[in-house]
Amino acid sequence: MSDNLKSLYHEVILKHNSDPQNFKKREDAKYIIEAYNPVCGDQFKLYFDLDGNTISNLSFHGYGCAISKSSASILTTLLNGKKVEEFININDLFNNVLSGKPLNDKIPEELLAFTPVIAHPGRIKCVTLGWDSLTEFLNSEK
Amino acid sequence: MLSLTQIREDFPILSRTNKSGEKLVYLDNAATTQKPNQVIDTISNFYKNHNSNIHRGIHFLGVEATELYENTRKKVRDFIGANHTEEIIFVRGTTEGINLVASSFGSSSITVGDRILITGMEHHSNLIPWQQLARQKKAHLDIISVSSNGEINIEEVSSKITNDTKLVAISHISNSLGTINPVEEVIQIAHRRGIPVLVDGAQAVGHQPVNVNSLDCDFYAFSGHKMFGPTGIGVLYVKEEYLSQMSPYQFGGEMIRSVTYEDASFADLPHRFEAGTPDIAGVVGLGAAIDYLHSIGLDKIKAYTEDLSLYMAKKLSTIEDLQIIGKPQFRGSIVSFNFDQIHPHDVATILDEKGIAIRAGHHCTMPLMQSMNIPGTSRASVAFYNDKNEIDILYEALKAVKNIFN
Ligand SMILES: Cc1ncc(COP(=O)(O)O)c(C=O)c1O
Repeated sequence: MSDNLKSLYHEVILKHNSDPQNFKKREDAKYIIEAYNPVCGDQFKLYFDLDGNTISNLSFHGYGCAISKSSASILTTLLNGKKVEEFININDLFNNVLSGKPLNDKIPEELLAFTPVIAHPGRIKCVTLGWDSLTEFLNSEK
Repeated sequence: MLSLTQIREDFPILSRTNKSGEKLVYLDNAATTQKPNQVIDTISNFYKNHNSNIHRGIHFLGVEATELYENTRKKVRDFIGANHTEEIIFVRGTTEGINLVASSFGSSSITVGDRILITGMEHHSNLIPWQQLARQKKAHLDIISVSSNGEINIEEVSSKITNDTKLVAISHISNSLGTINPVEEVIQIAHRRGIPVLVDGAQAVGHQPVNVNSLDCDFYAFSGHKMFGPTGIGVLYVKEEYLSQMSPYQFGGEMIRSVTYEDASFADLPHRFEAGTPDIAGVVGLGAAIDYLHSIGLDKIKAYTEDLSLYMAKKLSTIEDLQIIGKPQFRGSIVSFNFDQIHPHDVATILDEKGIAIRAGHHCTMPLMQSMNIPGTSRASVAFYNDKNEIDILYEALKAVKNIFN
């Protein structure tokens, strides 16, 4: 296997792909939002509540590639119980990394597993799928 | 046998490498085929030496360009065995060809309560035009089901044709499953009831001999870019009997005889269907692709690519946890497959790193994927410039994919 590939499918990605965290439906969630990529058909739902400004009981379910699935899984582990502002902050840091800007040491380490995807512009949307739909939802709620 | 070394030299892009220096293995021919020097040089020569608008120039370049354009129409006529030059309409591709029929034939021949019959494996471009036409006209769209092997049942075709059916539309070869459909039989059945048939030939032309006369189809659409010719050009064949009933599809220059502020009369066939300046260089390039295909021989091409694609289907099916999607009795140059637990896009990305170009996704057949209960497939498709060695490279790479995810 080329080194490139080893790093593209980083063990963090492979682990979250085979054993996704918070991977469950919750029909009584206060909010259920869809993350759908019509280009590849990846389709997840995010389930969560908002207590004031705090995201809680965040889970996800659905179907997608290893990259979109692992990224959504990491999203749920990082942001459960966090404030909306923290999500926005981490999301900004993450997008900076994905657009090739210099690393910021405040970025959660797991997210760095996705940096090799920068070399595959067609797959960036997979990384950001869940993140983008949450951002869109929060913007529309403002 | 084909002289593969010679043929591969005709396609400069086949010596490309990817960023990591891996040699290109191009197995995405169903999306678009590569172009030989003969096509590339013909287009370049056209712009260098003959470029002009057509059908209106008094000057010598206009005469030359018109001649090249109209001679290609004759070449296409002979290539697909049409009876008349007028039956050949140049369009942008298969999609535009089908839309032309839906707009023109569809608007005059389909009314409330009529039915249009298609198969469940149609590309969106042979589904949505009919779906929308049916909606607009309050007509119905009937779907012939696709078996788990990826085939249609000829009895079901008979039983789904009713007195209200006004058109049957079917792909010659499925771009998602590789199935070669029994279009001759479908056409015979439909004709016994006096119903015209449109064939979507996007995946057939250039890979096997196609003769519209012996098929006896009424409409046949195909794309230049899938038959080793340029993008932006395609052909719609319309049988003479329907041609004269059809009204123009777009209006403007090149398609009129005389115009007043109040009215217009239209040019002769087929020009009334070619409004505006067409892709002249594309047409000339398409002619070069036809010459090139003749120089190899379509019978040989068919035998070679079908053998290669069978080899591929057989070889890939030996990989553990890999399912071949669609196991038709008659297969064109396409093989779709899925791993149990690996998403097609992950497969395609890993292959891409190794220089292997395939396609992953729903292949513009979303309802077919839904009916098979899969989100998509990985699809490898061959052409006459591929060889068994490349299939072996694909096979090894797929085993490596499996290892990464195990
Ligand atoms: C079976 C089939 N029909 C129609 C089309 C549409 O062809 P084009 O995009 O050249 O118009 C394709 C191309 O993918 C195809 O495979």
